Amino acid sequence: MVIEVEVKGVKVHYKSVKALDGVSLYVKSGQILSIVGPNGAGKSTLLKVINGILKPKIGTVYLNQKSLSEIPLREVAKRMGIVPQSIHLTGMLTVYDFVMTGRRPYIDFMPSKKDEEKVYEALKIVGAVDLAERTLEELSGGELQRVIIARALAGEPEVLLLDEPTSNLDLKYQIETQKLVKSLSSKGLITIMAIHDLTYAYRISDKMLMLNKGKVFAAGKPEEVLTSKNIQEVYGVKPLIIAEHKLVVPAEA
Amino acid sequence: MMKHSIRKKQLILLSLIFLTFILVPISISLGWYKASLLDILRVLFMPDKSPLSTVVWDLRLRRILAAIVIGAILGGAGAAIQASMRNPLASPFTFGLSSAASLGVAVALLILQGGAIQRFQIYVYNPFLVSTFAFIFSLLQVSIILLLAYKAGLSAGALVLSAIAISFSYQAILYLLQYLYLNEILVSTVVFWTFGDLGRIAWTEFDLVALTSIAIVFPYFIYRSLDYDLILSGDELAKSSGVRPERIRLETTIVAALGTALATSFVGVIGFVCLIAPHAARLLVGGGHRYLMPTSMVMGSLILTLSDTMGRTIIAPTIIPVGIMTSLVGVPLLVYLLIKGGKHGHRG
Repeated sequence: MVIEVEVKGVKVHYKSVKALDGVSLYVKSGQILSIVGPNGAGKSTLLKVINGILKPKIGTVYLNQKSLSEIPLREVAKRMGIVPQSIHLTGMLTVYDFVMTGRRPYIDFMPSKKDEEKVYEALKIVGAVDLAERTLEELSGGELQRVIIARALAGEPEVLLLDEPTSNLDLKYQIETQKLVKSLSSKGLITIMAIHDLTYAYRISDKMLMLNKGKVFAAGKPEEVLTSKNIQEVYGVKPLIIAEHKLVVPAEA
Repeated sequence: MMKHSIRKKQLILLSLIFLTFILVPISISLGWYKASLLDILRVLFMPDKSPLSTVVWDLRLRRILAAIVIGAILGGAGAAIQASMRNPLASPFTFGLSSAASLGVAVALLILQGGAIQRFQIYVYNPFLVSTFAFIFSLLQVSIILLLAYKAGLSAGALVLSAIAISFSYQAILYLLQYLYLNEILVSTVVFWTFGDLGRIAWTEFDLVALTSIAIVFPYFIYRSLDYDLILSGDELAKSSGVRPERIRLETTIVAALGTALATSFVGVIGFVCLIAPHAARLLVGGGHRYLMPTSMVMGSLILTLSDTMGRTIIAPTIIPVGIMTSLVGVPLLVYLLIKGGKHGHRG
């Protein structure tokens, strides 16, 4: 079954600041969509709106043509998994306990055998089974990132939302996360990520949305969005783009 | 590997429950009225009209059962509030429920204008009114906390700070009342009341506390275990999992306050158990509330029963109120646990 996420004319205001101003997007099963843009462009806000944890002032998010506001919170939680940029690290929670919280939408009282199996599978996918008994406080930045992804996967989502998935990762794990996201999307998962790293976004995405001051500045395929003109206008920096390697870096060091 | 660890946690929990049960007859056998363990077990299962039976059934068993139930309330309430507020210092005690209850007692005594200490026992002409006032004032403090959280929109950290500050103002009002209105006997009565004493609880009061905990407090805390894990990691993560953190914080505060206020109004102030029990339990079974919550409850029972037994035996026949014992034993224990926890990478 094809899954679709559509955002239509979403507006979000933080007091007098327009965080999102008429943003629309469409993405379906197996696609990876990157949301790029400078700090404060509205990337994380858009992810929260898609996830339903932030209600837009105007506009609608549709999941399979059904408005998100008509779907119960728990149902949305079953279908979407979010990987936030950071989490609170308190209370000596073990990796296993933390990943189990990803199963919350399925659990009424106590986790079942199936929930335990799903947690194990999710940890296996991100290669973190051996971390299961460690506390979150004991993990390195990269390990923590993988565990947060495992938590989202434990909920068997149809849509995976990632907020800056590479920010804590070294090069090796960036590549591994890239492979992981690609393999998940090949199985039909929708991936939407807010990301700063333009090269990473270039290499991984099927579609791209460039935001600036809460508005869609450009949308389309990565090579259509990541043009020298667009980057210069939105970031105020002259880029060096090497299309054959899908590389975007500042032209001036 | 995961199964091994889960089994270990189950084993620790079962051992603690077993230890608490073992402690009941031992604790009953200790005190100024000496009796062998066998005799204690005999009158426990076959009560008669002997003096020993009276001591066991009318004095010791009730206070030990009260220690178990109230300890579990305090241990559970501490763990639940610490998690829902994401603050290791949050507890019914730091929320100022105890100082509010003490103020309630002072006000009740002022209205009653009567009370005395006779043979080391508080004698109040209308104990029910005193308990009611303690309870009402605790609930008043809860309402202030909830107003601060939901109307003023204070963050969890600011909420704990303001609750501590408010409890200081209760203390100031209490001192002022003592200075202006209360006579020496009433001052002693209020002070005596604040030293929590399990011997004070009557069977009907115990039944009320036990029923409330078994019907509402314990099931609620256990039911919310996974949600507490979620909230610990962040409100947005909780929301994205279909859980409303504000609602859970509200419910948790009300349920914890209900249990604590009820217990405090009958036995007086018992400090530190709600802070120590969750920290000690966390070191034993980790931070996941599926095991932390029941372990914290049992740990609370164990600490309170041990403290009460020590209080009854150290300088028998004088009984040191359990509120004093838990503070005496609790402070060094808490500091030790925090240092130990720090070495194990526990930052929360």
